[in-house]
Amino acid sequence: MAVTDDRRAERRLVRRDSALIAAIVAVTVLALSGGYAASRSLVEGLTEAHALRVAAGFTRSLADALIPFDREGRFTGMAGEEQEAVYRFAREVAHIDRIVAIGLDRVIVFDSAGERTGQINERPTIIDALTGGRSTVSFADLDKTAPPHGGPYIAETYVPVHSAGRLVGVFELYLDVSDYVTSVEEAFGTAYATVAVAVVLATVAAVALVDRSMRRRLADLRRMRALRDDAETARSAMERSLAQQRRFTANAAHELRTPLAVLRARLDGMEPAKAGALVPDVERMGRLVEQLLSVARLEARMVELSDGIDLGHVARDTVAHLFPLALLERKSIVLDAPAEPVPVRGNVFALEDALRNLIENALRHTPPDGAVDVTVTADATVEVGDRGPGLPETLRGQLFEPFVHGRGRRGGAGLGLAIVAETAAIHGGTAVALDRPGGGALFRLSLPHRSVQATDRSEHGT
Amino acid sequence: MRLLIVEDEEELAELMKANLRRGGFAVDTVGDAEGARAALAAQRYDAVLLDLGLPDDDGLDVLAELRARRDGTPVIAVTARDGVADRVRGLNGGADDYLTKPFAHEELLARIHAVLRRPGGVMGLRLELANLAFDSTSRDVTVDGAALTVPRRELAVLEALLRRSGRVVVRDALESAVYAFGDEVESNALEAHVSRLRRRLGDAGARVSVHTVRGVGYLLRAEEDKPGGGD
Repeated sequence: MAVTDDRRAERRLVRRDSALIAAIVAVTVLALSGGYAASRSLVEGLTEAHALRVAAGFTRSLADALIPFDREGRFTGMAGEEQEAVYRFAREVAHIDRIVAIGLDRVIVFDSAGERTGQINERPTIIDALTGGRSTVSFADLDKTAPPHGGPYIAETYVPVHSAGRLVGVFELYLDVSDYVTSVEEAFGTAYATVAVAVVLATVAAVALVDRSMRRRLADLRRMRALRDDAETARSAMERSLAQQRRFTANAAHELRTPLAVLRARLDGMEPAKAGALVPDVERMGRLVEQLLSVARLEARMVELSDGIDLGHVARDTVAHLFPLALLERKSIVLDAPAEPVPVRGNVFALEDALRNLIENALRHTPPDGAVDVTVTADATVEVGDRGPGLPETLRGQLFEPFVHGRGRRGGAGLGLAIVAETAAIHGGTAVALDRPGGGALFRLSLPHRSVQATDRSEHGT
Repeated sequence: MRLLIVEDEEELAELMKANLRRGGFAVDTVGDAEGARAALAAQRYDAVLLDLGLPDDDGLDVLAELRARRDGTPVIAVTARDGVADRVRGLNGGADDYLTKPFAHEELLARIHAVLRRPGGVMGLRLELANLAFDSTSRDVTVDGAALTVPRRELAVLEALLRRSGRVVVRDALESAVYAFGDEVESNALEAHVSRLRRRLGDAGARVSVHTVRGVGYLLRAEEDKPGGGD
């Protein structure tokens, strides 16, 4: 399930980025072709403007000198040196190839050499030309043979001719604008090529960036997945090992206790004279097994905490349980606990077990007729004090470590204080060993104080 | 007094059986839940020692079936499994007491006697400790067979301590034994009763002592034999 999710996420990423790249390329192609089309029409526009300007200038500058129409628009003709000069000027300076003079009654066509090549008297043509009297231009193919844009570019311009403020005719001028077109095209071509190269480079860069980011994110995705898989593997391995540890602890409990129970029952069935010496050994072994199981239980986190545990009650039960054993050694246990409950969050059995270990430890170092003092305070601490030899200076820091015999081997396996420390840790509390004022040792188990519940209780009080 | 031992460890079952027989009990043993069901259906027992880890079923299931039939036969759950959770489950599941292996025979005997003495249990007519005896029906106290008069409240204290002799009885339990619900309890009245009882027992020559467990409660036990001492 996670695998298909991963695949889907990867595919989504790739699809999104591929779409982005396609969009970038499409925009670039559109921009480039649009730019080309725009530059073509710009060339034509510029050429038209140029042709009109030239034609208008030509007509204006010659208007007074060379008017082939009289004031009524009748054609009067052009001749002599004057005519020759006009044509040379037209040919060499203005690149005018042919002049069509359109008068009110006829149309006269001259070639670039000034020879009259034709005359049209058709009125509709004349009226069309005259009524369209504004300056217009269009590209024409003079020879009707050259391919469009292949041969010379000829601009066909119509320029109104005025005399004394009156429209007297129209010049239809054919201008060779090939040079102009070529030069403009060259300029545009260079600019276009430069822009195109820049745009293509930018596109390639953008695509590369998107691609790299996609690869990086894919790699991140895969790395994260690998990390997650590793964590998952580690977690399940740990869970397996914890479960294994729990099973082991449960099995070990059964396998260790059963033969001890058999041994104990056998001893109890024997004559005391024979069995007597062995009984304490079996009891000690039994206690050691219990402690080992406690350690295993704590380490396998088989201890559940619950709210509303009364620490005073825990201490009372533990002292009650241990008192008969203390009495057998002519020792005593004295409990001092508040009358009010001391609520803590914890596990009754683990806390009893820890306290039992503290009291047993103190009893071991208490001389006959001595007493162990157990004190519970309202801020959720339990202190167990003895009047024994006190804490050994050399082992002060290691007292709570397993199998450390703090004050000589006196029957304990060295697990008791390790159980206390582990229990404290599981409860979020602390266990410390102190020198007891007036001699002996004092062990303090402090648990997090449940002040909220304490206030709740005080409301019920009085 | 007939006991049923439900225990799959044959050797342990045989040893327990032998030890309990010496104590005057009639004992049957079965090794699995099926055997336990058959035995409980065929025979009325005064108490059952029920191992929870049986090969064919959970001992707690057998217990639950027993209680579902409104059969109040005292049951002491016994287990070698790791205790904490089982202890709670066992007691919640209707067991009267709970023992973790290994256990001393004396401990087992004490637990058996305790469940038999419970209200509704078959024993408990006569409680004895050293030369002290108490008949819970006639409510007579004797020391070495001689009658001893004990006032009502002190007698309640003595009975509670005798029922759990050798073990600590916490103050709360003693107070609820001495005072009926709603009685006004003075703060150190219990101490006064105990100290009068202690003096009364001592004067009568009872070889028992009432120990004060400060901050917890009291404990009654037989005095140790001190050669040359006492008397």
